[in-house]
Amino acid sequence: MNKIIIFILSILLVSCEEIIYVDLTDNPGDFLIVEGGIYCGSYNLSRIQLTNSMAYYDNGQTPLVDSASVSISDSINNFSFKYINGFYIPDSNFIPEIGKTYTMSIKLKNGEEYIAVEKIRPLPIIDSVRCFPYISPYSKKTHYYINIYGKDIPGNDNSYEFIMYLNGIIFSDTLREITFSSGIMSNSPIFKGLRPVYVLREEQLPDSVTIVIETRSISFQYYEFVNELLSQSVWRGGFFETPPANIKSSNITPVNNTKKAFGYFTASAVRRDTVFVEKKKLFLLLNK
Amino acid sequence: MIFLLKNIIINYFGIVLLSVFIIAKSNTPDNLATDKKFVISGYIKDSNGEELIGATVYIKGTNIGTVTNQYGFYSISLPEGEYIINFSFVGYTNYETKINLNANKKLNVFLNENINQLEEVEIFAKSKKENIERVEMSTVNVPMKIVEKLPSFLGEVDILKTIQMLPGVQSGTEGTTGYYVRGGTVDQNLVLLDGANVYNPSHIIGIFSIFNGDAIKNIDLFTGGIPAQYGGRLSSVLDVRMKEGSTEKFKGSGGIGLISSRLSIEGPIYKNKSSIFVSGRRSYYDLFFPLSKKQSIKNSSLYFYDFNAKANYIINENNRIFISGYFGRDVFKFDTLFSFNYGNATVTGRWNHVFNDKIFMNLTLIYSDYQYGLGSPSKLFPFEWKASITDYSINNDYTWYILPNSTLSFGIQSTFHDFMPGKAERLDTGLLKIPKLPDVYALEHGIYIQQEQKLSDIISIQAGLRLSIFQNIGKATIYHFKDYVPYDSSVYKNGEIFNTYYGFEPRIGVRFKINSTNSIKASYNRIYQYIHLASITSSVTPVDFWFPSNPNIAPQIADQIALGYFLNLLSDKIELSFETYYKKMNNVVDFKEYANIFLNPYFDAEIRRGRSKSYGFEFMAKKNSGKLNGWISYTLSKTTRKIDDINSGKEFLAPYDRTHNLAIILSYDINNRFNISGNWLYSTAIARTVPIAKFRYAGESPPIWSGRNEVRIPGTDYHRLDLSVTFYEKKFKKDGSPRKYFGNWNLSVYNVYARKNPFSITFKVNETNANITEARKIYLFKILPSITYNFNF
Repeated sequence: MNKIIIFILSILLVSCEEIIYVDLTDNPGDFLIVEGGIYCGSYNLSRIQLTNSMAYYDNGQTPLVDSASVSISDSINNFSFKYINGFYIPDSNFIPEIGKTYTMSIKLKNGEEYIAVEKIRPLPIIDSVRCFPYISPYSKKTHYYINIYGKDIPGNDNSYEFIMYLNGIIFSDTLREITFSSGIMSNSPIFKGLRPVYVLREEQLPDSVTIVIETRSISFQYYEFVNELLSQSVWRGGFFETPPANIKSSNITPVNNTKKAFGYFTASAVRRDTVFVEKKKLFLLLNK
Repeated sequence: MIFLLKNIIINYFGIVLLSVFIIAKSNTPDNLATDKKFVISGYIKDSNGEELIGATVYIKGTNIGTVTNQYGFYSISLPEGEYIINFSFVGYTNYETKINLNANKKLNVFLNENINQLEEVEIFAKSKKENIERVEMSTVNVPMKIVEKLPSFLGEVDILKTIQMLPGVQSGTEGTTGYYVRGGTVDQNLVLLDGANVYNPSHIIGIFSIFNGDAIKNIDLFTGGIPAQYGGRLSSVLDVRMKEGSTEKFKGSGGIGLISSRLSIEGPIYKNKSSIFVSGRRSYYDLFFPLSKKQSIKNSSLYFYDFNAKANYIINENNRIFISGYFGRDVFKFDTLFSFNYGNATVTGRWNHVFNDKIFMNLTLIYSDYQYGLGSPSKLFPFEWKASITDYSINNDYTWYILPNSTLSFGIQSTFHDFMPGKAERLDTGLLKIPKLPDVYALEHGIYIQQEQKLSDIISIQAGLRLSIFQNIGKATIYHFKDYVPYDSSVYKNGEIFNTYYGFEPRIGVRFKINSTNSIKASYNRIYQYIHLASITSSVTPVDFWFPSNPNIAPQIADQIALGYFLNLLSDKIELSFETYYKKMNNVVDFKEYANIFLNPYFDAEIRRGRSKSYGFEFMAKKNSGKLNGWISYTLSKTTRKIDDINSGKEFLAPYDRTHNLAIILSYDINNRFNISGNWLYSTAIARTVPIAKFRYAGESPPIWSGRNEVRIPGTDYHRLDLSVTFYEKKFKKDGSPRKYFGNWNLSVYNVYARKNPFSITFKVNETNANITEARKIYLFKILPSITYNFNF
């Protein structure tokens, strides 16, 4: 959107954008941030990172919270997390299951407590992955689309996250690069069936490549959280910028104190589908 | 319910009418009451046959006088006798005539324009004593004559930019024409073009206004004490009247500018009976796009055009018909990425009729249409989203010149609104049709009565009452919400009236004249607004969303009181005004945070309502005549809003709140051929929401925000100087006869000292490294010169 406003303005001759310094507080704010979650599937992804908020102009290392006690409960059993190399990792006895609801609790050294509740949702069946070239009429360059087809699970609360690996290297490692799809959207007349899209420039797709698509089931609340987070960070600016507003869809709830926390505790089922593409030939892979 | 309503209407208006007559009778001066009275009436026009609005008629040797109405008509009742009548209008030579009034008389008067007497021309007052005498306060007649001399912006003289320099009016962001009156939002401004509602008076996201200066005859702005004749918008009325065209001879005017040009032609169809006026304007910056090396620019378009036309026919002394229209569009396409377009169209048909020389009737049929939409022509996912509002209105207004001291206005107005809240289409495939939201229909009525009465030389009052009624009609499905979650719905048949709101709107103004150079005025008005606009974006965009009241969305209500002191100095050469106001608005609307408004059937649940209040002090000093003229306007004000779910329900400063607003506008005529003009504006920085911290999550760094609009960032206050020089070609030949063709060159410089006034300030992550957060300012214009050639033939 920024491009659009700059375009309109540059046409009117002389608009400019510049970085300015605004005198803001350098107090980091002391808010707890939760990132990570639990995953069922055999990929050892379950982990949680706790950090603190930072001053707006602090571009240094993210301050880690290493002295918290973190545990998770499925309402019958309670499992504790261990702090290893910056992450809280669950006990190896802990095996998350689809359909169960989990409550994570965090106790900080200063006595603050937070909880987050999330349910693990089922995964849809992906029946095909398609890779096809597309020449942009704008740049005249060839791009490759990677599309996934499948049937969404009925219900409004199912949303998905699709992460892609190319030859074992993660392609989408920040939130803005990951493709998200909400069940509501994928069942709407606009998007029939699951069809997340990854678009690769020609040079991004090696001649021979193993593509892994990792599908994660997520809650609609997390889907909204991601949208809010992106709209407050990378999507800011431009003509259609919405008024600044703090992210509301976080599921981290303070216990016995009113201090807000940010971030999200996710709970997902995970599956990986692998396809092999040779010499960038168009292919359509049927999974079954 | 309806029965009850009818009773209320009849009773209430009965009482008002009765009281009006009592006032009228009781204040009839004795000599007038006993003698036999006759009426003198007619039209005041300029030498081209164009009616003059607000021209003064004054009976010499008395304190009896009146002014012409919006159609140039006047009427005065006087006892039999001989009188000298003086007709005057600013910028025109006075005309005096002696009449022997022994029967009702028609007297049409033509005034000649003052061409060679610049020193004496009063630029922007219709009469010398207007500031002191008239009851209305918070009212400005926007001076087209001075607007034309002021520095232009890229060659376009802009009425809305001039309005932003008046007291009580604040501008939005840099370069835009959106304006905020006494703490009201943009949608609370009623903008009428020949009586037709204009929903978006801007071109190119608000950088220009739709009003082509060549086609405009008269502009009145009301910011308070709004007459009962107007309703439906809380904060202001901008009443714009188009030129009718000369009934005498064919002539034209136009201008050639850097990014746009315009041409107007007018003339008689039947001499002295009927005339036509046609005017067009188009921007042409995009003509240069194909020359660009960038393919994306080659594939883009950006232009606007508009077209005004008006014709009128004088059937006889008592009957006259008009038809006028406006059509304008903005087209914008950025390659295959994005497009939007919007535009207004209005048609007004009008019949003026004079009953027995004292009652002026005006029957108006109006069509108004506003369409807006956006789309993406991209191959990946081509779509188009469109929305529109169409209004059909019938207005019947009467002015009854009962006595020279007493004028009664009344009327009834009805509008049928048809809202298309949005439809979207995929352009590539017919398979995936997106269901369109159904049209929403409503009726809006106004019944008003207003009496202007001179009680004595000291006290004049204007008392009015408007009853506004709003009705939702089927076919419709209304969802019922509890805590904004839909739990049920009601379906209504075609044409079924399923919801009625109404409100009584008193409008009162009083003037105490201390002496011939001092007066005090006070006013109170209440107004209801049933059609709303809310925006999901920080800036004003063409996709700001219009929607009507319904059982879920109550009307907005404003109460405003204002008090003013008015003073003329140096034998009326300098006019001063001091006004204070307090305005309270209920049920103001906004979208909740993270609202979803596009094609959402539960749209009503995305809206939040609340309260807003505004108070302020305004000062204006005007110099109306002489070689040096202009005005200084200063406003000190504060506006806050308090809306559920926004800023956690706590009160916050309005996004357009600016504590101080100062405008200095000066124009100096060096001689008959040269004019230099300039304006300097200052306003306090708007309050913004700023980060108090940030956090990191999955490679992104979103801010943690302060409360809404808590901080005025130092150095972001607004100031700007514009200058212009106008050189006029000779209007007369050596032998003194007027030239057929004459023009003027206008050289303008916008933002002379290249102040980088912010258009927006955005806190966002660095585009290449998401770990780095920064503040970015967009400013639109540094120094911006332009040259325009204007011509008349």
